[in-house]
Amino acid sequence: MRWFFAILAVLAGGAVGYLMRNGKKKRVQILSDLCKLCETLSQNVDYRKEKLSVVVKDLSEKVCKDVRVVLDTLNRSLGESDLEKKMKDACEHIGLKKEESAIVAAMLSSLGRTDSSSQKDILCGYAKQLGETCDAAKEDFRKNAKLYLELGVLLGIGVGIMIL
Amino acid sequence: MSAALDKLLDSKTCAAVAKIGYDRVYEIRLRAGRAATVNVGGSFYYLGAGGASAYRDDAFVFKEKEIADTVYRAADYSIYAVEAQLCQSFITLQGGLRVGVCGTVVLDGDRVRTVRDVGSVVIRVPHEVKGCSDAVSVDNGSVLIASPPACGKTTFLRDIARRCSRSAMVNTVVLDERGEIAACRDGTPMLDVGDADVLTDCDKSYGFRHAVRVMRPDVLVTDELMTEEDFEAVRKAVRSGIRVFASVHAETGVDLKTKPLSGIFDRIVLLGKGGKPGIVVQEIEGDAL
Repeated sequence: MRWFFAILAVLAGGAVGYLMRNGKKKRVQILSDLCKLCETLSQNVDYRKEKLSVVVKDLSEKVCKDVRVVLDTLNRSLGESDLEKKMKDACEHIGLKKEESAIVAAMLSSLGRTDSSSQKDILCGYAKQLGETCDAAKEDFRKNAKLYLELGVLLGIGVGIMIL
Repeated sequence: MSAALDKLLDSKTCAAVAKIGYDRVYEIRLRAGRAATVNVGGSFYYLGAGGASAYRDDAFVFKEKEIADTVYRAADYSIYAVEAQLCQSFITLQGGLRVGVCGTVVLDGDRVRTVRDVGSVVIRVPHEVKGCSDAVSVDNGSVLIASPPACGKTTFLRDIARRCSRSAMVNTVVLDERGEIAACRDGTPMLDVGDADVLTDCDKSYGFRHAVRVMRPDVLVTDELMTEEDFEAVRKAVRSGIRVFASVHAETGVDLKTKPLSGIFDRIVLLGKGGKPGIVVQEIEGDAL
């Protein structure tokens, strides 16, 4: 029975490490998609001149599930006075940090408010900010992803030894 | 029309307009920091929570942000998508509503890039009055419709386009520079211009040239001739054998003498105010000017 619980503890530790690693990976994916979104939005604003709701709907099919949730919230809340707050909440809900959520919420709330030239400049600014955040998240993942997995397994082994 | 106004206006303004009655409203004027006004059946009143009022104190006073939000809603939350219209200081909405904007014009060289810091908007509610142009024959010659503002020139021209294209069955092209006559949205006229083809968002010089070359019209309908180039474009079309129905701002027949009308129109119809469009106060032969 002790052996059974010891093995269970090792597996649980490994699973925790794996989940933490995946959390980091998901954040990189979200930020990376948001960066691409900025660029695609900029191109759409410039060439398609299509309504924001249509552009956002089209783009939501090309991003990961979490970013899609944010874009759907944007489309539902267009024109509402608390749009930025709703965007911020949606971003925090998918696991972005507060400061990252604030940037993304400000970017999405600014959409459609100006002429195409100014809109492109604004998007370019946000793309730069998000790009830096994304690079930092990628670096963090590269450095720590393996560490989380190893720590989880080690923790599990530790608990397993104590059980034995 | 009520749905389009509901989408455009905030809830308090909507409720006020509903109290007046959507069909009776011709124009709504919102100005940042100043009293809102409404044109009901040709007369201006202040617009407040109780509807139309003769007292300034009853009027809504909008903040700059509320005016900006109105423009944002008018653009369907996509200012960049309507910037070609915004450069001409208006946005056309579903149902033919037209939102004129006043603010700071941003220039990029000689080209208007956009209008920002919008301080005033005028929402013009189109009214279709079928048969309002019946007093004027559309069977021969070119006709200029002249009147002071808000006498129904555009409504009159719309009715002429409908009559020419449908009753008289002649090829009719509407050159709708500001989207007021047909109020096209996604290529479809929101207002009834019969079976007329509509060319929108282009200047008269290009529009007339294009229409004559491509659409082979018998009749061209256009509004608000203003510049020498506009009159010259009409003159060329008339010389090509096309009948033109156009409008121009003028208080009286005397005002028309200052405009380069020579040899263009067969008849000039002066409209007057009277609570409804199409009140013909005078008809002058073109060569009498």
